[in-house]
Amino acid sequence: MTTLTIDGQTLVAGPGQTVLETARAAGIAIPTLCYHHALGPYGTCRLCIVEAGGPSLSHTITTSCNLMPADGLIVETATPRIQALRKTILELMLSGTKKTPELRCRAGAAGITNSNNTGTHTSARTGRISAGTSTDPCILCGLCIRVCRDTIKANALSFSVSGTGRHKVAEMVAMTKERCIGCGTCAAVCPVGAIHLEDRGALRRIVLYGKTANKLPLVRCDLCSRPFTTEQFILSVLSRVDHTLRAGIGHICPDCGRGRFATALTGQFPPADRQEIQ
Amino acid sequence: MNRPFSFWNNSLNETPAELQHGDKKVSAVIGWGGLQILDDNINLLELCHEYCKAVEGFSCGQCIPCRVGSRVLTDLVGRIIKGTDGKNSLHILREIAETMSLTSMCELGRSSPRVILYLIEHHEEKLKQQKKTGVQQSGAYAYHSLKTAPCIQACPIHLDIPKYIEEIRLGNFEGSLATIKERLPLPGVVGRVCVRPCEFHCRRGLVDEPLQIKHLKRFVADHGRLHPASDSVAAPKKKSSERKKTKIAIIGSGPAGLTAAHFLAGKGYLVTIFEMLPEPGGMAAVGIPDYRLPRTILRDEIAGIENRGVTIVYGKALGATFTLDDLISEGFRAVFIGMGCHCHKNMGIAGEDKGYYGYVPGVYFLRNINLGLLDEVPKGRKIVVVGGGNVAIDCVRIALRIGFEEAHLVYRRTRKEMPADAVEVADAEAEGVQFHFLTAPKKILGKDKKVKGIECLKIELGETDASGRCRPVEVAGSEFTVDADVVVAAIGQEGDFACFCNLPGVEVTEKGAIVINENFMTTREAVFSGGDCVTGPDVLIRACAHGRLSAMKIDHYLTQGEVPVFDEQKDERFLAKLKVYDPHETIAIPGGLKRMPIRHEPPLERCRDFREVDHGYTNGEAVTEANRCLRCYRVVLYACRKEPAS
Repeated sequence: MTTLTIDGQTLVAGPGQTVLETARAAGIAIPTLCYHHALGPYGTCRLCIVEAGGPSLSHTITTSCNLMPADGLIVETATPRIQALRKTILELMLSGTKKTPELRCRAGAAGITNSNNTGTHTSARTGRISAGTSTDPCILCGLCIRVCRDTIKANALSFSVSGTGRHKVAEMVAMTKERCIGCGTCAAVCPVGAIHLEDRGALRRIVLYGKTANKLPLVRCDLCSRPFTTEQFILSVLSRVDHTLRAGIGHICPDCGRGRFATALTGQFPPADRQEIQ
Repeated sequence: MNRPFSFWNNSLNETPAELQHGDKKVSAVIGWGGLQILDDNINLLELCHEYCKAVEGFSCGQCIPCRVGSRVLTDLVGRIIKGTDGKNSLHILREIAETMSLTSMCELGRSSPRVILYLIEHHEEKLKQQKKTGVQQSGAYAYHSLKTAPCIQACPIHLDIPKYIEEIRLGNFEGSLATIKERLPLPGVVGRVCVRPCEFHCRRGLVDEPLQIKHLKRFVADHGRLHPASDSVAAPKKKSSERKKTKIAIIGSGPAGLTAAHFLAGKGYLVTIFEMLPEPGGMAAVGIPDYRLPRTILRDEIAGIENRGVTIVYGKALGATFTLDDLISEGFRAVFIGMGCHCHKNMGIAGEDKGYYGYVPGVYFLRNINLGLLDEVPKGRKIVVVGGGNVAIDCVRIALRIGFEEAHLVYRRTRKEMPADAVEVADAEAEGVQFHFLTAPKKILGKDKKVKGIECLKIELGETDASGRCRPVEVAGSEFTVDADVVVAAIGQEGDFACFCNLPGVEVTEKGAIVINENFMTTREAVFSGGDCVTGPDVLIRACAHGRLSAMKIDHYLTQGEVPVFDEQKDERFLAKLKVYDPHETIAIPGGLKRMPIRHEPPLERCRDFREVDHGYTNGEAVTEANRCLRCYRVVLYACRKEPAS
């Protein structure tokens, strides 16, 4: 067990917990964009910066999402200096992207009140939006890419670079259509709403930066014949299931599944459980 | 307008030394370490603007402060120059630069804006004055930007180490291998046996421990071997048919020759390698034991080079079975000599010249075992190896593997001074090698034409000599005898190797090294050389670096008819003067992350056979280790006065 001090509170970090997680568990808010509890730390949005010092570390500014606690570590999450830096980062972020409600909300919290309603941000400090990727809200946090690669294991999304940017690693997110299974996890994790799904009729469109990146036909439910998910997604799920269980699995939408199997399970649980809950 | 000064790596100098890039005089330098103004006419704002543009171009684009911050800096400095900036633009400039420097993810974004902060802090008046007087885009200077890193600069072949580590971190193992193969065709070999100068210049080492760069390279090489379909650089590029008809001869299939062949074949030449031994690989094959570098790895990578259209002819020794003139008359338009240095240095002690059975130089001992010629290797129970380098360590470790029961190493200084790799010394110790430090050989004892033992002396360390090591001083009367069946001398490979240098028209030094100019050309037209036969015994990666540059020089020679000094060679020398690695730097980042340990075969099992000692990383281990990289990219921009248009 590691004991550290965050904003004057003495806290004990659980095994494997980062400073960010420890702080959040204690109710100390640290803003983040690229952190997702299902995917772990990454460290590109730089909003979770804190001042840290202690025996193993000279006083420094570092991201808290990938900082591991050490005994005696002293962390300050909201000093005036940190808040000023966060504000500048947000301004930079806004000057590079289109302002979405998600970003505007965080900007408001940091005290950036420049609100023109054109959806773009201009300020004396950071200047105009320049050409290129900046007309979309993507902040290149990489969450969609990581979830697609590590959790879904489809690896359909990647950073891409236009032209001759040999030194560039990331300029925008691109999709390899053939690998996409249309599960929509990328849309679910995106912190700024740069990716979303549109189901119309029996067709699912994955919309990236306002443009249709992929179209996939939807499979109809065996029971209610409502389109509910893509063939590729079902295959991907089945590939992870033990082959003895695979046989006999039909295409049943979540609603019908719940209706059908919940009925079958009625009476399976002894009433004793219910008493304990009460 | 400006007095010359330099503020570089935290030291201010009012009378800076002149800097040269190639033969051009440098007027100003601005970069990670600070600023050097060497020409009083240079305009600070224009210099800053060009520098910010360069940083913006080099920014990888992953984290916000660097990606957007560098763009905003360029924009703002541009507006200051045009005079369209707002009231307190210098204050805003400072704020953005500070945010970028404090919060960027990697060292590129952290180190680059520091110089702008320095300028605003110490030269604000000058900036304001230049702003007021307006900036005439003089156009008198040409600006060039470079990107490097301490590890890249330390690497003889200048692999883009942060890039391939980043690609491992992102899970793009194929891309990582492709990055390495752009410059180095033998990643599996180098990933196992490199002496890794990069790791000694790794800035993470100043915080906790350096990255396992060598093992990460090995990991992607092994990954590429297991997934061969992903090898995207296997196919040679199609080039003009003119080149296809041009024949080039390479002497020696060692690392230098193989690398040269790889790049020449990639350009479409018809390359033939002439190898003296029946096995390809040169010292990599016959000098490095299989437990460090399995032969299959070497052969596979050589096969990859052969697949590019390279032919290897065995049993042909230059100077013995054919001459340079033979090659020219057979129609070879250029020759690259990379025949290495397979010679040994005598110890210069009594009994050495008696021809005892059981006395053998280390290089030959290793070569015969590695070629499978065990009949040629003296047998016995107890072996004594003299020397403290990597060859000596290889000899004692391999001796245990071919059946010696006791292996002793005699070295005249202490463990600390041993030139051998510390990791391998520890491995040898784990396998049961017995070390005798501060001991020097005096006489080889023999009986019935066989080695019986070696007489040694105790040594004390004296004053420090020119090489920075203490001079060994013999202790009189401290002689003692060590029994031995075999004595191996592994005290170095320098010495006369002109024995097989029958090279008309090629100048050779007294010690036997081939003389080349900085374009790798020997004193004979169209004959190039590189590797150990030029440098004397040196590390494998430097031979590869020579091979790569020679290949480019040969291509230039055959297509343009002349060989210039390349820009990358000038860049290298220029950057070396700027000291990319500063060992006294303090780095304020959270430390305490130990390097990912290597798993080994258990010492007592492995020391009886030739199985590979080190295990490779798993995918997870490699990604975890890659995550420790600080990506210490450094941007530098230099200005040179443009030559007046004629």
